Amino acid sequence: MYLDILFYLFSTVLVISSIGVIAFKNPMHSLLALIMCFFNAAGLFILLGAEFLAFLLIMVYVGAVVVMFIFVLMTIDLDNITYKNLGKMPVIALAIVIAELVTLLMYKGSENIVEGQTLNTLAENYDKVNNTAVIGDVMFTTYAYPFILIGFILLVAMVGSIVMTFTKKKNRKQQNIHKQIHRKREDSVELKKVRSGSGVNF
Amino acid sequence: MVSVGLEHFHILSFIVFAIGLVGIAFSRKNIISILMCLELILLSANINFVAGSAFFENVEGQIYTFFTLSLAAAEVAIGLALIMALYKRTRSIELKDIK
Repeated sequence: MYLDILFYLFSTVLVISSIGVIAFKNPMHSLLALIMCFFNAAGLFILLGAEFLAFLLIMVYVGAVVVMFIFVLMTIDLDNITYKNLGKMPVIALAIVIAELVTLLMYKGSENIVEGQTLNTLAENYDKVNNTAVIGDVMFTTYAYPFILIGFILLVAMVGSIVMTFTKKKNRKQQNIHKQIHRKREDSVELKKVRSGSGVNF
Repeated sequence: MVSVGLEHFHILSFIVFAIGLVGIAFSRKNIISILMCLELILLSANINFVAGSAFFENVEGQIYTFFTLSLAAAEVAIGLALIMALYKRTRSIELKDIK
């Protein structure tokens, strides 16, 4: 029973904060709402017994993606961003939240998609299986090639983003190693006989 | 109150998806909020995958979620690099300045 209450709690906060993502004026505030979304989704994943993905979601999204968003937002001058006009958005948002609560609480499906499976029957298996071990078993055997492919995709993303943001300075002083090595003595040194008392013409 | 089944997760994921879609359709101001709405849509797909994999007792849904997560990270990196390149050129990240 308490699992159902937790589900309703997590899903309500998830929906409210995802409305916040699109309703807040300041992009920084909507980023904080996005972090709230991810934490609640992680809570839902834990309820479903997928704890590996729950912590991966927090680490990858909150730890990397949202930090990247914040980094870009701080680089960009926030005063230049025009804020959107909200209008009737709060009323619509409240209506959506109430509709969602009513739908979730009153929903009685004509037939269950999965016969007899509820959150409570799932919870009985939590102690029997090790989620991370099961995922590792399948991922490194059946899905080994897609796993390697994902690594290449991340490499391409890294190289692409570096190339796109790279700027070459024009007046930078740098070494030309090829030119330096292939320098001959005749190019740079000239011997002159200097008489005493007179100068040298270059 | 009905005990929570797979249908409830489907409804929840649909609502989050709809919110993300509304955000993309109606917030035509700056690109960063569009990227955030894209993240919401991907999150709703992930909720569907994980709920399905838990209720059907098949672990492959969670593996697809893992792949979706890493693809989303790559996509955000590319998108933010595009935004930075755009900001360097036009000093603005709003959609009306790009047109």
